[in-house]
Amino acid sequence: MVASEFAAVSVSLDSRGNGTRLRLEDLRSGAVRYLDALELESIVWAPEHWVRELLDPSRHRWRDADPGPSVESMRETDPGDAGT
Amino acid sequence: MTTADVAPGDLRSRVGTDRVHGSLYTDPAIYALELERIWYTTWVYVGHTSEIPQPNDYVRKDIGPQQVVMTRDKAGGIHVLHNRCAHRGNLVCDAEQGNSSSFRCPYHGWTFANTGELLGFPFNQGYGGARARERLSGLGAAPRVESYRGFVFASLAAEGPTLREHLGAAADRIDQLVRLSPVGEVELTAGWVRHEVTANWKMLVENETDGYHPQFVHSSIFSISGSGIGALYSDKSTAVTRALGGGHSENDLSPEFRRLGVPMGWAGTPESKIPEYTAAMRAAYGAENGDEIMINGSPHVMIFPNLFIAEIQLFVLQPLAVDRTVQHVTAIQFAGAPDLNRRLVTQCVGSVGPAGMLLADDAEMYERNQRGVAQRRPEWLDLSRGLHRERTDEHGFTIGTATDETSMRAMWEHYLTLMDPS
Ligand code: FES
Ligand SMILES: [Fe+2]
Repeated sequence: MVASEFAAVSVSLDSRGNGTRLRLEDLRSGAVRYLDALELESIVWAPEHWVRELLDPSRHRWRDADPGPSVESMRETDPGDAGT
Repeated sequence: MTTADVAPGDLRSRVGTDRVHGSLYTDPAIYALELERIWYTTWVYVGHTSEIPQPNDYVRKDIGPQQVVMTRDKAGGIHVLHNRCAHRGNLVCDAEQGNSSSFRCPYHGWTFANTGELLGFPFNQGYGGARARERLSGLGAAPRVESYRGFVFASLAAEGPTLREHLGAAADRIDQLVRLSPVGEVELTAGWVRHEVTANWKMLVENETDGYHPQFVHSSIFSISGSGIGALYSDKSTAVTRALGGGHSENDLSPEFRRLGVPMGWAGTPESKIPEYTAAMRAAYGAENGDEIMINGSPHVMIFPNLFIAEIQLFVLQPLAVDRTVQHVTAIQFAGAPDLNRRLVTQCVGSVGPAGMLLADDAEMYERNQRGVAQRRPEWLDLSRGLHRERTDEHGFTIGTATDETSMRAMWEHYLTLMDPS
């Protein structure tokens, strides 16, 4: 688990598929995201400001209009694991 | 009461060369003025870089009653931020320490970088979109943060003397301390004891380099531990009390340690107990210099207004009210000296740990003193000890014998320059 006073995320490896991927679960909401090797590599190379933009709470999560793309994309990946 | 209750000139009439008025320790209006003119103006010690070694480390600290967060950003820069959300003022950080590039307020989710910059807020249409970031505030930051040899100080005033100007000769004492590490670094990683006393903060500042009390107040610990330190605080001793300027002062016991001529004699630790340390010191500085550093010992210096380095332990003073002060205490650890460090922790547990005798002895005196000065007569505290035998040393500093009140007189002189700058 990677946790601070601000967030708690459980981190594990998932190998139910044909290749290994990273499973991240936001323990406060139950939302889950999987990241494969190429996605992880892309994150490693992403510029610093990209991460900073993700930290804006209005960016994807607490939005006024639509619920944000991240939850939907997670459901596509693995409906059984999506947040409740 | 407000600060307006203290008329200009009032303070000067309460501080004489050989006495101070009791109200300086008990008047809430004077305390309020001290917060503004001393604690929120001058350089105040906040923390040490060894407490935030990695990028994005942070630790909660204080500047008097102000809560601050000392952070290291991703690029290594150090920031001192007020623990107050820019939205509606909630406390942002709660943990004593952690590692995070950003902080999210628990009340409505405003999110700040560890530099203080506002990164965003939930449901931003209520502010007209993300662009509102540009007009909304980030976390308040201390306008000036500087460090010396890993010791981080902050000033809440945008302008004023530099840290080096503020430290003056006290910087040499930090050098003296840091030199006792074979790699020239101290680490404040042994953990902290928080000890609160019902006394005015200046009682503590004055006591730190008062060489008159140890033979009375600390006689039991000196006799139990067989320490020779008590005897050094006497008129026969060649030790001196030195005013270093800027309100800083020290008890310099090194003349006695040099007379003794034993490496680590000042610490009461025989060389046979710390062979790795003494070898590392001689390897790092050369045999002669290494021995000289180990003979000379560690400083006993009060860096005004809140950092007290007492040979092997370090105290940070934090006033909370006119009659409430917290001492944060830790055992000093020297990088590259594991065998010495283990002994230092053990020694500090005995002297200033939760059941430590040194701390308990002094705390008892602070609290008695605070109650005592609230009595009506006589109105003044005497400060005249050794005034007739004060001298100037070869470096131009005012010195007195080991038991003289030279350091207190100098502290009050500096106090007036801050409190009544006219
Ligand atoms: S008070 Fe911090 S987000 Fe509202
Ligand atoms: Fe003492």
